[in-house]
Amino acid sequence: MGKAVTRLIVFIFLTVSLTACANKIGVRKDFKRANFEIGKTTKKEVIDYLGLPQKIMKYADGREHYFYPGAARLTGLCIGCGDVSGRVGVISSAVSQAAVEDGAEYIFTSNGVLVAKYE
Amino acid sequence: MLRVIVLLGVALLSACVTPPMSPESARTLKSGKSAVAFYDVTERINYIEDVYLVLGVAQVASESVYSGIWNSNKDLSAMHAEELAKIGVRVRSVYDALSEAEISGFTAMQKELYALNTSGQDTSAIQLKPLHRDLLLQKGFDYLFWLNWSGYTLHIKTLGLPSLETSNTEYWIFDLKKNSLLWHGTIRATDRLRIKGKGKVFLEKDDLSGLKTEVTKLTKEIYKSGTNRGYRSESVIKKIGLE
Repeated sequence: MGKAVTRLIVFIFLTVSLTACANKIGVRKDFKRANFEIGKTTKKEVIDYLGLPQKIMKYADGREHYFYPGAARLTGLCIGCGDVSGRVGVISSAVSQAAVEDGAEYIFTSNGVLVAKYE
Repeated sequence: MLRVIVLLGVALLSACVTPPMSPESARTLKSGKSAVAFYDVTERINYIEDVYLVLGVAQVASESVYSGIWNSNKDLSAMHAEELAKIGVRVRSVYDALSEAEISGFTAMQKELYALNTSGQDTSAIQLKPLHRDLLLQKGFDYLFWLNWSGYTLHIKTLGLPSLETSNTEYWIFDLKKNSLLWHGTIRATDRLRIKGKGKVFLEKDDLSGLKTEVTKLTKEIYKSGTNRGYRSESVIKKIGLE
């Protein structure tokens, strides 16, 4: 019984690690390779390269912040089945946080030009 | 005992389903002038992907926001107006009938209406503000189709299974003259999809051309008559009763 539980925990850990590292849904994390230039790169160019952001924050002065995750987040895990219905709450939150830390943020002026980046 | 359980089950299921309008109400609606307003509260694409891991399946998710990038309210209002017209409703998008300033006020009203709906209020409490109801009446409209949705969801499957695309559109049909709700319910559109390329790229590239194509396809599906709709899509004609 004890061994079986240990094996299951090891399996879940490996699965979560692999899933967290995997670049799924087409989410890109090669932010630095794009070499976006401050004062030159436009919002459209960022979208053309990375796709749409996961989150947009707009400020009164017209600035916009685009947030890109470093990975898709794990929302479910099902062992020994072909479909996912179970949820892994705690692990899911941990992976989600890791994805955010691994992501990027781009700030644009009201006319859509990049003024700051955090990759 | 079994009979009681079956009856309770049937009662519970039927309580969740809004019956279609009566043929007379549908005829009256079709003879009047209707406006369509789509309110995209999510302004995002929802992605889900199943990941095959030999001993099991994991599921990952992500979202892509198009707020300020695609004017989905205007495009989706026009799309639904076009399809409603095809099934005999005399209809115009509010974006073609109202000025820019009027649209701005109307959008703010929709935001409040949506918040009221999600706060758990009874549907009878969901009413248009007199200012906006009067505005539509002045423009000659008798009814308003107010629509919102859960957003477009793409579920990428594993093991060679086709992906699934889904959208659930909530319909609120208001009788402007009587200031009452004529019909309310949700209509699901689901279809199978073979993804060209890698995940989200095919939907988002070229100014969201893939997303716009798929949303148009799903919208057209729910307005089709008969049983030739996409995989598990519901029918506007049948569900609302617009025969």
